[in-house]
Parts: sequence; structure tokens; C-alpha cells
Amino acid sequence: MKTTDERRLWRSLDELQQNEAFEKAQADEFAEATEAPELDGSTRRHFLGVMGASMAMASMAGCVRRPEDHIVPYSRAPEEFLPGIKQHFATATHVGGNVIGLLVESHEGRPTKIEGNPDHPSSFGKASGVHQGLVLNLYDPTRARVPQKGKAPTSWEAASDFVRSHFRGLLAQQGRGLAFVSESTPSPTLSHLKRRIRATFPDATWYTYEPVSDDGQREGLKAALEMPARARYELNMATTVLALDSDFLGTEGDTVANGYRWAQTRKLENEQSGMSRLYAVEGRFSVTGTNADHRLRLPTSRIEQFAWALVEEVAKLGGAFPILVTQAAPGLTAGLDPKVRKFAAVAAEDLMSEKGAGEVHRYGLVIAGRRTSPVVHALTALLNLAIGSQGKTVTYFPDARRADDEPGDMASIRALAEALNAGRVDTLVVLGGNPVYTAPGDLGFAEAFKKAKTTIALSDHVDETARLATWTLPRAHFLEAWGDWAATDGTVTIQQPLIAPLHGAWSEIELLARILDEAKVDGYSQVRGFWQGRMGGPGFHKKWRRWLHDGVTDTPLFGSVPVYKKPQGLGTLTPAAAGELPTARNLEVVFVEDPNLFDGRFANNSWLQEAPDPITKITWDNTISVNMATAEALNLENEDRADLAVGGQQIAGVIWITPGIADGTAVVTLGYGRDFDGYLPYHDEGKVGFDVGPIRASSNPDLATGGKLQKKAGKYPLACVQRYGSQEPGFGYAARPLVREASMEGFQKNPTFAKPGILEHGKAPPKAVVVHPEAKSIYPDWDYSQGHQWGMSIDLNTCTGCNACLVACVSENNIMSVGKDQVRRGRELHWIRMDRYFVGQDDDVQVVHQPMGCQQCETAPCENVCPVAATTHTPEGLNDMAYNRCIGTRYCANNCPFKVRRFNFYNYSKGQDELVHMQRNPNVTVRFRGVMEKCTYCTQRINLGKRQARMASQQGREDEARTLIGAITPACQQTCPTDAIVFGDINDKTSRVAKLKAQSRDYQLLTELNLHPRTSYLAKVRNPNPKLVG
Amino acid sequence: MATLTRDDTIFPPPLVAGDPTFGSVTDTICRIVEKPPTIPWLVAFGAASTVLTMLLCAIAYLFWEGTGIWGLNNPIGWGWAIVNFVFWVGIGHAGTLISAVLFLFRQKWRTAINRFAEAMTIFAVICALVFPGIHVGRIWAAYWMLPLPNQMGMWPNFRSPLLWDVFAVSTYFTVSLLFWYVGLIPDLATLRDRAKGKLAFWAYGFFSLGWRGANRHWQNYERAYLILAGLATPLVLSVHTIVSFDFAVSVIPGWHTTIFPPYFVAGAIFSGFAMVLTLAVPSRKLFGLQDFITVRHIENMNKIILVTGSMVGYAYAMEFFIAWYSASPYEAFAFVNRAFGPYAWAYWIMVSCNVITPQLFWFKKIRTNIVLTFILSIFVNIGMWFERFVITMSLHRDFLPSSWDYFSPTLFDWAMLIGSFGLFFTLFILFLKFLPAVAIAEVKGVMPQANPHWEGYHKHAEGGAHHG
Repeated sequence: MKTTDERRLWRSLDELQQNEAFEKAQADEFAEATEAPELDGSTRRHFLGVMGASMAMASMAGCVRRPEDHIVPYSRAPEEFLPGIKQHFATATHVGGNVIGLLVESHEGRPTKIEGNPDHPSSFGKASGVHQGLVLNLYDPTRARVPQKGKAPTSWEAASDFVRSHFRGLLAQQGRGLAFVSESTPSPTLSHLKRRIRATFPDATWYTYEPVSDDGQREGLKAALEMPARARYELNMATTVLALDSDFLGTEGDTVANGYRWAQTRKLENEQSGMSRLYAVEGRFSVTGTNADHRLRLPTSRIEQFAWALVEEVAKLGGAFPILVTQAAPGLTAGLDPKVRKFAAVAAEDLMSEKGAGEVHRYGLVIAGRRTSPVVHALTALLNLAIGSQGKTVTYFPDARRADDEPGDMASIRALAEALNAGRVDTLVVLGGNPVYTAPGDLGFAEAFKKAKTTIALSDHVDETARLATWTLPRAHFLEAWGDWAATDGTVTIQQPLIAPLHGAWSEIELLARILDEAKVDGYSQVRGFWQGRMGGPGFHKKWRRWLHDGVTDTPLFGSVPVYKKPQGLGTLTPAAAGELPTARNLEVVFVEDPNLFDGRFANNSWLQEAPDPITKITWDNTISVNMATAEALNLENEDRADLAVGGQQIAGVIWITPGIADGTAVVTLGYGRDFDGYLPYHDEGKVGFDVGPIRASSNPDLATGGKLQKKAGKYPLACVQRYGSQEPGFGYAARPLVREASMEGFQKNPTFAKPGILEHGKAPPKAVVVHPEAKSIYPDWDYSQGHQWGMSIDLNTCTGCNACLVACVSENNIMSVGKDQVRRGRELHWIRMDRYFVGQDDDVQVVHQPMGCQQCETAPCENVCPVAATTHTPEGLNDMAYNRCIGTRYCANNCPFKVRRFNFYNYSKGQDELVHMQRNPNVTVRFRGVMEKCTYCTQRINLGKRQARMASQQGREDEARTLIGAITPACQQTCPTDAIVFGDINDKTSRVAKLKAQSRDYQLLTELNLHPRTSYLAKVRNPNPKLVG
Repeated sequence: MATLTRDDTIFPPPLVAGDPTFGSVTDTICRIVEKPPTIPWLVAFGAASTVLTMLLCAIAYLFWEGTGIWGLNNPIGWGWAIVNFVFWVGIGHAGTLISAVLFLFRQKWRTAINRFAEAMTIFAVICALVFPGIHVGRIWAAYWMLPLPNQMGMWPNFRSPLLWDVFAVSTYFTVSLLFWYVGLIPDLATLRDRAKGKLAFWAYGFFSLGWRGANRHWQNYERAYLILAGLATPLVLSVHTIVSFDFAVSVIPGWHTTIFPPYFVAGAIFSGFAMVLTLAVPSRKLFGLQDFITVRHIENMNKIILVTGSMVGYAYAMEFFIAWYSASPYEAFAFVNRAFGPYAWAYWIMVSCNVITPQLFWFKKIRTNIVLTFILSIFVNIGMWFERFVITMSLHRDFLPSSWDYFSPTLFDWAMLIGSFGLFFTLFILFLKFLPAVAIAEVKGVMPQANPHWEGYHKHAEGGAHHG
């Protein structure tokens, strides 16, 4: 008998024999659990795990007091649904009449994140910050929840009864005294219902009103083309673009598609690549202006004169214009500043040089902004025709937002106010929108509104309009209701709901159906019914299901305006002579839509409130922005309170000095100063910003002259996230090489201009970006040559600074909004921020944007200083944060050279309404107080991709596995309209990111610190016209 | 300038003035403890403990709400809590220097002030220890910084200077406490022997560890004291060196500086001596200890302040030189920004208090002037607090101008700073009342009577006077 020590105990024959399979099984003891049970259903271990956890929870419920909850099982599980696996559904929405197709992520029936639909022509799979933010509106706890009669809550039955009986009563009198006011809604079903309303109530009037109005374009193109139209820009084919006070990359029109297409012409593979040139002429400083190669600072009221000068210059070069136009031009451009004239001449030459250049895809393009006069739009149409761009880079489409015979936005709201004041309106139905807040101040709309006997507001909130209405009906969020939308080019998308109305709500379609007393009033029947009637026939159901799946229907609603429709002249428009130049004492006031809140409809959205303005970097407020010269003339400083008076009306606001604004121009932002009981987390002052409505006039809603700015006592604190905005740090120190930039010419001469040149002792500084010699580590470098190594490349050339990535990151990563007070203290939590630096002198500045998230340094300074090893490196080169381990010494944040780490100074998620919890991404931890957080390159998405790839690989599908790895995209990259952010495996030399990093423009920040950051930047190249330089 | 006299150099003046006897020394010092509390003492204690209560309330609110109650923000992750920590650790250094280093160098004049200085060390380190504990975001997990074995096999990160700090400061505190306590034992026994009340008898008896003054006791005592002094001496250098690593090991311009260790140690001794003076000058008056803490003691300490203050001034200049010489634009900017940026006010307060003030001690008249010494010592304390503030605020403008910000203290920052003085003075005032403020046994050792060849024996024998 052997002693115990020598006896060998064994459990199975395999173990006894120590064969290979057993060893493998032993090594992979938990192999089953680490695999995602996504495709092969529940495994035994998984089942036992869930059972065990349930038992544990059940027993714990006995000893710990917990709120009682009910778990409702899927007795009949929805089709294609697996718990824990997100699903995407195609849908669409619009902001101010600009439609976008979307894919919405859903977790267990909760829509959590909005993404663009790659198949939709105004999205290309991208979405803007505003679109990303829409999902939070769904879970807004202060949404209107029940119908209200006056101020008293009532039931849906009562509301239905009221609508039925009220409109039956109106039927007899042909709808006399009945008026509707709707937003501009390019929806085929809604238009159909609108036509039926007109048929049913022939005497009723319909007003379409959008406060951020495209009246100028509508009027201008109507005059030139003899039909109202919208322009769509094929920017990917344009080599020279001239923007006339147009923010086509920021807020105007199909910004996402514009950015996507424009970026196609700005991507550089090497120094031989061509690049488009962008000229901007504007009085304010827009996102488009920051991206321009040449920007002319010109008072907004002088844009028309500039357009005439441009006509002259193009005509000189052989551009054909109607004779009346060329005759009128010299008189209107008399006394033009030679500098402006030169700019027009150079731009005209550039635009004309593209005409008939013989190459494919070389066209000029002139874009007029929505603020410009109808004359400018008509001239722009003529210019685009003259330079041969019509039908190439610019295409006209019918305007689906309103009937052809309807007046424009401002004319409509003025007519409505007049009708109300004259007592001609007994019943007013407000179909969405908030006219009491948004109507220009000269109309006295609130008073007029009260004159109607019955006012029915279909509204998201009990807002300014709803509070005055006799009936308030909660409006359904677009993720709760059926609908359909036609994009600028006629592409139709069915708006598919992802969730039943959270509190009960009607969509515009459902309310109209009720008003029409239809048999089936639900949105599904209405929308499907409409399309069945239009495109029905055998196989419709299949077609319908495909439409829903794809997010686009088979055929567009309409085609482009036929090519024989060419602009003929100015029609009935009369050009205006250029007025006096504005001065500090006689200001020109420019009204701009807010890049985040738009016209104020997103004022209750904390993500958008906290997203900084792309230029001023101010959150939670709007400002009266003036340039340095104007501020000095009026003795104004940042944060000074001031009164802005225009034409007898005045508003109280706050001053912010922004370089680059035209002299004598004050820029004010719409959408703030909302007066309603909103819910804004961690904001304690009730009102946010100031309402500029009172000084707006319906005759010229976006530009006012004769403004007076009067400084008042005291300061108003603003929450600006980037108060210091220059790369030159002061005290005569040279600019820091953070954003590296060259002209096209400079790039061609020196393709490696962005690469650092080392400063060496005793030698003259190199002609390059000078950096200190790199610090050396005493440790050998870690071997990162194996496996996946994640990296990111950000192209500063195509980054427009639009904030889409920032809001996408907030949405994906459950980043809390901290509120104005905390932002003022410098505690915003954004994982990716948009660094904005001004370049150049005084007011003729340029702006560079630099998205800045965690750089994932290979030798990260944050890691070695953490006393508890809460932040460490993965073998795949990521700098990980273990929230559970973090004790919050903040040493890592101090030692981060990029200052991208964010600390939870308070428990910012405390006290949030449970509804808001529904938005959260279940794959990302909600961080508690006292914990550091930062960009993870969306580690949850990386892990999902790796899991799927491993599964494919195990099933022998190696190619698919590689594709799946290549398809991993962080939220910022996914939504970036210009594809400026590219993420991927840098070890895979075929990946896009590896190729970008191999470009000569690639550079890393602060290399002298021996950081080896995984994020690198592609240096910015501007393409100035040599004739305008110097 | 006074000329050196024969007395000063060859025959230094006696270390204890007023020609007391052993008995009168014991009486004078023990009477402070044995007398009922005086009105001034009660007033001082009441004030100090009120301020301490404010600190405790502020800490309670901090625990409840989080570090957001301070003025910290994204670039500036460390604020006054760390400034206070470094300030208080620095204060402690003088105590150790006086008690250990001067002991090893046989500087007998230290005996009068060493008890005092050691107590100050202990209390300053207690104040310092409060801050790293409470400044973390998740206080309930702060113990993870200790290398405690756990089932996850998770150890602290030994590469982090904060962890080195934990070891350095806790070692320092332990050694200082032991050193102080060992030195107290003979005096505690004296108090025990004189105790009238039961509680005092029991308490002093318990802590005097059965001291009987036997030869063997004295031998062990002397040996233990010597060993502890030897242990404490390197700590004077190491603790602040490691505290300086918190900054020097980082990559931040203005922090990443190799001059920090010696510069911090010099600064610590500088501030520590200033604090000893700030405490000693009023105490000697209040408790009638002028005979023990003489003008000569004060003058000696002022000389040390002059030396270390000059070292600190040299370090300030050298930092600027190196910033220029390094040719690193970030480094150069950080220092110019210190002197002329938004925190220039703090920088110039620091320079005037730390560089200019101590230079006045070149003059003997100022060195020996009690009132001026007191005032200047307070200036040095202020200056040294600002030195740490200026260094910590290097964070406000580092590499990327987009992140630059400014730190504004909140009410709670003030409450914690002022409150820490409440903690310090509460402990110190309690110490003055319940423990012998001057080392009785050691002072006797440096009195002329301790010399077996003391001529006074004859004088006293002739006079027949006997004391105690």
C-alpha cells in the first residue's frame, strides 16, 4: 500500500490518462460562460446561472427591504427577440422640415440610441447632435401626459368626445372660423389629411409656420423658377463652394448629408490629392465659416450687394445672365469696398474655372443661406446656372413641406395673427409647434391667441402655447407614433414607432383623423391605409414590410425639378440698395437658430443644453455676441448684462465677445428663455438664457437694423467650457503644436509638415514642428505587435466641429448632464470634447476644431500614479478604467497631459426620474459619485464585435470574423457626418485606420512625453487661393 | 552687530536661566499640569475646539455629499486638501529635526523645546493625515490604499507615489509618536508621583510603564531614545522627499522637477521652525517658561530659519533657471505663468514671505526680538502654505490651453483649512494642560547642577539651602 502522498486521485479516465482534450477542457473551465449565448440559445450553465441568481434574489428579498417589483415574463416572446441583444429599427423624423432617416437601437423594447440610416440619402448612416438628442425627449419626465381642459387634467375619453362633438358641430358651418397651424411637415399622409380637411371644412384655413424659416429660398426660387422649390447640393461633386451667409454644415438644411458629401472632397490621401475650396461670406461666425478656406467678414445686410458683385464678376468671365440682371448690377454694387470686390472677383474666377474643365466631377457651387433675401436666392440660382452647376451640384426639388399656393412661414403666422385679432378664428388647432413662444414679437401672438374661443394645442409639453390653450392634447414622440416623411429629394420613409406611447399621446395624424371623424383613427391604419391606396395591389404587405425594414420606400414621392426649368430672372422681386454700414451705435442684429436647441423645441433636453456652442463654447445659455471692436466701442466685456433694443422693443441679455463677427453686428440665438416648468437636471435657476422673440419682426425675422446695445450693471455668469481658446498661451510664447495646419501649397512642398522635428543642442531649430526630445522610459516597451491593437485616427481636415460625436458619446455611454452650475465650476463629464482654437489676428481669425477624447496612450501617465491600480492597460492597448476599483484620488486626471479624464464630483444620477433611466445603455455602467471616468473607445462595442467575430471564427467563417472586427465602430465614429473619426485594428495593415496612420499628415500630440498615444490626428490642410493670400 | 564676547563662544551662557534648582524646575513645569485650568486656558481651549467642531461638521458634509463641495474642477483635481496636507506634514519636520537630529549632534539647547516640538510634530502629522483620507472620492474604500491581503489577490499599485506616501507618512507618524512617548516616560512618572487625584495617579501611572528611575531603567531608556533618534533622523529627509514625489513623479509642467526633494525638505524645516516659534513665543509667556525657552533658543531657531529660507529662495530661482535651460516650452511657460499669470498674486505672496522675510534675521536685533520673531514666523507660515498652493495650482494651465481653468475655493475649502488649525490647537492646548510641556528630566541634564564638578555644590552647601 502506497502512502497517501503517492496515491493519485482521479476523477475521470481522461484525467487519469491526461489526454489533450481533458487538458483543454480544464484550461477552459468557464469557456461556456464566457461565450455569449447570443446565437446558440441558452446553455445549461447559463440557465443554471440565471436560476441561481433568481433564487438568490428571491431569498434576499426576504431579509432586505426592497421595493416590490413584478417581473413579467414573455409568455409569448416577440419575434426575433433575444433578451440582452439590442435590435435596430428603421424610422425617420424631421427637425424644422428637414427629414432624416434613422436607425434606432432598442434594448428590451426601450429605444436607447438614435443612429443614422445608411440607406437614407439625407443620413448616409450619420446623424447630427440634435438627432442623437431626440431620444432623450422621449423620456422627458415633464412631457404632457394627460389631456388638459384649460388647466384641469381630464381623461382621453373626454378628449375624444370633445374632439368628435366639437368638429361635428363645425361641419355644419363648413368649418367657418376654424383654423389650423402646423409645423412645416413634409409628410405625404399628413398632406393627404390636410387636403381632406380642406374638402371637409372648405372654409377652414390652414397655416404652416416654422420659426426657423426658409422663406427666402422659397420666395427666391419661386421668382426665378416660377415654382416653389428646395435646393439639394451635391457637394461631393463641387470643387469650389461659395457659401453666402449659409451654415450648410451646421444648422441649415440637410446638414448631415451636406457634411457627408462635402467631406468627400476634403479627404486627402497624399499631397497629390485634390481638395475642394470653400469660400464663406458671412456676418456671424458659423460652423461653415470655421471650415472655410477663405472667409469674408461682411455685415449680413451687405450679402445681397456681394451677390450682385459676384454676378458682375462671373458675367465678366463669360457667365450668361438675363440682360436685366446684368444691367441692374453696376448700380447696386457702387461704392463696394475694393477688398470685397477682390474677394468676389477671385471667387468668381474660381467658380468659372470649373466650368467645362473637361474633367468629371468638377463644378462650382454657390449656396445661399436661409437668412439671405429672396433676391440673393434668385441670384444664386442664376449664378449656379451661369457657372454650369445646375443639375450637377445643385438640383431643385418640389417643396413637400407645404402646398404650392400657401404663403411662407412669416406671411402665414402674420395672417393667422390678423385673423385672430379680427375675431375670424373661433377654433384654432395647433398641430405641434409652439407659436406663442416662437412667433415674432411684433405680432403680439399671445394676446391674439387668447381671442379664439376654442384653442386646441397638440403639444409635447404644457408649454407657452398649451398654457394659453383651452385644450391641451399630449403629442406623441416620433418613436411612439406612425407617420411618413419625404426627404428633400423625395425619398419617403415610413416613421415606425418603437414603443407604445409612454403616457398616452396622439400624433398629428391621429388628431386629424379624429377631427375628420374617421372610422379608424389610429396612426397605423391611417399611414398604411394611405400607402395602400396609393401603391396598393397584390403583394402590398410584403412591400410594406420591406419599406419598414429598409427605412426607405421603393419610389420617391417626386423627382427633381425638370432640367428645362431654368431660372429666368428675378421675376417680381425688387433688389434693395445696400444700406448704411452698421456701427457699434447702429447695430445690425442677426438672429440665428441655436445649433443645439434649434428654435427652442429642445430646450428641455439636458444633453443638448450641455453640448457647447461650436464657436462660443457656452452651454446652458445664449448670448449677445459681438466682436472685439464693437465691444470696445461700447465698453463691453464678457458676461456683462446688456439691453438690446430694436425698434422700440428691448430684451435683456448677456454679452459674449466672439472674434470673427462683422463690425457693428450683434448675433443673438433663438430658442432660449423658455418660460415653462421644465425639468432640467441640476439647473436651479428656472429659466435658461433669454428670449429674443420680442425684438424679432415678422417682416424680416432674421435680421434687424438700428439695434442699440446698452450696458447694464452687474455680470451674468455664463458656463463656458473653454474660456481660453488660442494655441498661443500668452507671455509671448510660441503657439503650441496641437492643431497642425498647412496650406495646400505648403503641404505639397513639404508633405511631412506635421511630423515633429527634434530640437537638438547646439543646432539650429529644424524647419518643422519643433518638439523637445522625447523622454526615455527606463522600462522596455511592451510588445504590442500581436493580436488586435486598437487605434484611432481623427482627420482635422474634415472635422467640422459640429458636436455630433459629443452627443452620440453622451447617448451611448450614459454620460450625465451636470447642469449649468457644475459646468461653470468646470465639471462637465463629456468624454469627447471639441477643442476650438482661434488662429490669426484680431477679427480676421480662423478657427480650428480638434475632437479630444482619451488618447489611449500606450505608456499612459495616468496608470502608474493610481495608488489602487484602478486604471490599467489591456494587451490590446486600451487604457481601461475599473470603476469598481477606483477610489477617486484624481491623481490620474492630474497627470493626464490631455485632461480628458472626468470625475464624478457628486452623484450626478441621483434624483433623476425613473423615466430617464429607460434611455440608458444597459451595456455601460452608470458611474457613482467619487469615480473617475473617461473615453473607453466604446469598449462595450469592441467586446460585442470580438464576441461575434469569435463565434464566426469558431464556426469556420474566418472572412466574416475579419469583417466583424473591421465593423467595430465607436459611437463618435458612427455618427460623424464627415467620417473624420476612424477607429480600428492598427495591427491589421489593411484596415482603414492603419492606412490613415501611415499617411504623411499623421501626427500624435505631445510625443515629447513618451506617451505613444493610440489616437493620432491627420493634420489640417486649408486650400487658400494664392490670389487672395497676402 | 554685536562683537563676540568671551562668554558667548568659550563659555556659552547657561541653557536654563534664573539659576533654578532641580526642585524648582520640577515644580515650575509640573504646576502647569497640576493647577486647575486657568481662564485663558479655558478660553483658548473653547475657541480651538469650536473651530475643530467646524472641521468635523465640514467633514461630515463632505462624506455625505462628495468632493464636489470643494472648488475642484477638471484640470485641477487637487486643491486645498492636498495643499493643507503638504503644509502640515512640513510643519512636523521641525519637531523631528529638533528632537532627533539635534539630539544626535548633542545640541543641548534643544532640550527646552524638544517636547514642545515633538508634540507639534505629532499633531501636525495628525492634521496632515486627515486630508489624504478625506480627499478621495469614495472615502469608504480609502483603505484599499493599504496592502491588505484579499481574496482577489489585488494589491495596491506600488508604482504610485501616493502609495509611497501612505508608507512614508504612516512610518513617520509611528516613529515620531514612539519617540515622543519614550521621552515622556520619566516625566510621566514624576507626574504620577506628585499626583493627588486617583484618576491622575492611575492615568499617569498606566502610561509611565512602571518607571521607578532605577539605573537599569535609565540605561534602557537612553538606549531606546538613541535608537529612535537614529530611526527618526533619516525620516526627516525621506518623508518630505516622498511627499515631493507626488508632484515630481508626474508629467505636469511645474511638477515634474528633480529639485523638489531637497527643496521640499528645506521648505519643511523652514516652515516647521516657524511654527515652533509661533507656538513657543506665546506659550513661554503664558506659562512662565522664559527661563527654559530663552532668547538664545529663539535666536538659534531664527538662524535655522535664515538658512533654510535662503535655501528655499535659491530653489525658487533655480526652478526658473532650469525651466529656461530645459528649452521645454511647457516648462518655461508654467513658471512664467506662475509669476505673471492668474495666480501671480499667490506667487508674490509666497516670494515675499519666504524669501524676503527670513533675510531680516541677518540682524541680531531682529533675531533676538521676541515680538518681531513672532510676527515674522507667522509670515513664514503663510508663505509656506502659499508655496504649496502655488505648486499645486500648476495644474490650472498645463499642456492643452483648451482645458485651462481657475480654482476658486468654496466655503468648505476655507472651513477645512481653518478647521485643521482647530484640530491642531485643540490637541496642542490639551497637551499643554495634561503633559509636561518641557522635558523635565532632560532639562535637568543640561543644568549646571548636572555636572558632578559643579562649583555651586559648595556654594549651596555653605548656604545650607535645600530645595526639593
